[in-house]
Amino acid sequence: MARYEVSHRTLQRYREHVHRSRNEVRLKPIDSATQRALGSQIAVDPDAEIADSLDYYNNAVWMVAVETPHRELIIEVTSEVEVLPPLFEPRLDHPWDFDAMAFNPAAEYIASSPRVPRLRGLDSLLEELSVRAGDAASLMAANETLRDHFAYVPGATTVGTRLPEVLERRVGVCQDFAHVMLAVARQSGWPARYVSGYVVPRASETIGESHAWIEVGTPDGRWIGLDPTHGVAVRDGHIRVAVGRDYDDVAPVRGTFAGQLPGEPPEVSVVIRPLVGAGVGPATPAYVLSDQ
Amino acid sequence: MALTLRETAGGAVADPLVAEREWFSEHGVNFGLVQDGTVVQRPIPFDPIPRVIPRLEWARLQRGLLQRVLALDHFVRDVYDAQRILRAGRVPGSVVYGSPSFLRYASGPPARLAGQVCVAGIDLVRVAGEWLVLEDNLRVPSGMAYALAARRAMIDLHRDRTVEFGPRSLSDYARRLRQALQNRGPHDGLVVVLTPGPYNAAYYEHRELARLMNCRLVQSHELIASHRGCWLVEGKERHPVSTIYHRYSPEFLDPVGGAPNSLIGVPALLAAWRGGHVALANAPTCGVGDDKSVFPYVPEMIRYYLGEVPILEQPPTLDLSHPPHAAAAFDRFHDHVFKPVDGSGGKGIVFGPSAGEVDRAAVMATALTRPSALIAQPLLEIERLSCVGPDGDIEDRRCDLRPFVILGDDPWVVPGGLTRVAPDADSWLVNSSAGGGIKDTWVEA
Repeated sequence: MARYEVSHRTLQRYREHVHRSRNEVRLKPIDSATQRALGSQIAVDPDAEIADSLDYYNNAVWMVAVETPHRELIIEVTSEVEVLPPLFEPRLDHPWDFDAMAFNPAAEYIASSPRVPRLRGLDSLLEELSVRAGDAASLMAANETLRDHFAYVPGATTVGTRLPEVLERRVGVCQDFAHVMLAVARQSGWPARYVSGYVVPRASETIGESHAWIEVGTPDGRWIGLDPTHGVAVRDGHIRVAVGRDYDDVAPVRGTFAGQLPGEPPEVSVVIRPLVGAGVGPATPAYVLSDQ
Repeated sequence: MALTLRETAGGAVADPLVAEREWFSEHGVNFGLVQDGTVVQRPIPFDPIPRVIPRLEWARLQRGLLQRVLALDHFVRDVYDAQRILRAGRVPGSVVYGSPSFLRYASGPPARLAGQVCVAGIDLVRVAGEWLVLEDNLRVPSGMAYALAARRAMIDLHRDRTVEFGPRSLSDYARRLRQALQNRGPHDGLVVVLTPGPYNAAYYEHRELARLMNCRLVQSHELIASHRGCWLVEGKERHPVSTIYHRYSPEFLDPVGGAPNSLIGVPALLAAWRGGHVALANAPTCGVGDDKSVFPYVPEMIRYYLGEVPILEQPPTLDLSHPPHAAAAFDRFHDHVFKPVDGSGGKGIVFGPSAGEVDRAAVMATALTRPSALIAQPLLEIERLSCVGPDGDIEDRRCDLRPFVILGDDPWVVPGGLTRVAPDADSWLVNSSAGGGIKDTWVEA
């Protein structure tokens, strides 16, 4: 068992004084089968009115309302999370019976979604990745080999980059890898959802970044994490923050402000510190990620 | 029905409906048409021969409409809550989950309350003497102000006929709507009508309903919201708003929760709604109930939620993503009408008999690439009613009927509603945005 403190700071600069702003913040890890959330705090500068709620997917959402004129907005969320050892081997085996899926809540995640539309080119991508419909092993294998077909290039895409462009250019970051993998999974008959969160760093590191991967639903009600950016199945090296059908459901900070000029791109910094708590042994990396 | 024809000296017939046109123009009863990318407001065409509905026929319609809207209201709140009807296998999950109108950000405690629907407009047609439901309008049902104008025009222009028949009165509409709106919101605060603005086709209606209900007509830039409430800003003052009767497609109500690039809308309005500080009518959840791919399942909703037999029939709907349905529709293309699932105002509708090669190819292409974007229905020979033609002769035109239902403590079906009239004797479409007109609807007292 390993505990971490995650500090996620978002700096939004504006090109003018804005009268007020409204943002929805999805940065609070919640309890799940793979982790225990030990508490989160949000700090906002300038002063803001903050309310929390749960969204449709049971993600924790803070509404941050700033009423005073401001040129920049800093939202800093600090959380403590305990990552639990996996309860089961993260493996897919039995495929879905389509008639049964129709009435299962997982059906929500096989439908196309705004950022992962049904595209005509998907069948040829499935072919290229040797993924066969309903074949668990071939999907697990594609998760490991997607990196051979798409290049991980930081800055090559933005949060708004659409799936057809990623498929065309064959580059992207974790968000794009997750969207491609969602499309592959859904096209081959598996319900799959998008997960935002973090990868825990190696023991010697603390600087982290946001990450994204997917979870594939199984007929017996489990969700298996697949991280195509790293080419691994998720065991205990990931901290989950929010789930949804695709990025648009889980955007960490989304909002608007009263002003004329467009805002600058946000500056985000993430620090993930292993904690040595009472009764908990020295934190060790859950597993070592291969280099990108 | 006696009509005065005004003939010119040369024997050619002058505009037989000049008095009607003048009345509608004088009273500003406009409906905007899109011409060259801009909205041009023009008086809505009016036909002075009313549709008459016998008492008993109306009594049955009224029961059927109320039953249908109550079931739809159950459905809307269920799919934002436990989704019992999906788990029970009575409506396939894919229909709801795949609907672009299922707005997940509109979930929360207020989405689980009765009365998601405040006003519903149900489109009916008569085929071979039988009433059928063609469409449910729950997100922004419009047209009631036009129905009220049609009645006023009849009283002003054809008083004797109107008084003699004595149709059931519509005049309680504004009071009942205002009451239903007020009851939905917190005790203190204003009831306002929120309009997208004068460029909206139905701006006349927005202004008129605000006037009749004696409440403010506002645009989004006049409102401020947060999770603590919603306020109307006037200079330095902020007045709390308790209920908003909005004339927005719900995805545009709040750019934070909804369409992120929307320039209209009130940021954080849904947060205020979620916290119970402001009521929205209709609730932003409602779109899922009038999605055309959900439509085929309304009879099932009536059986499931109310345990009743549906009173009103509806035509079968073919799901083009289902190969046998698609084959049936395309084998008999000329007997079907093809509708985009997310369209309104008659946009994108293709009628088999009048479709050219281009229309037909477009339908086939959509059916191949995005089969769930289209539905097909058998083309119905809908009832034609007598109308005054351009030369003063009586001609028969296709008409539908949009009755309105207000849900509240005391659910109410407006006696009658808006009868929409195709623009000429050949046209299939009755939509106002397709140039259609209106006539008064007389329910026998």
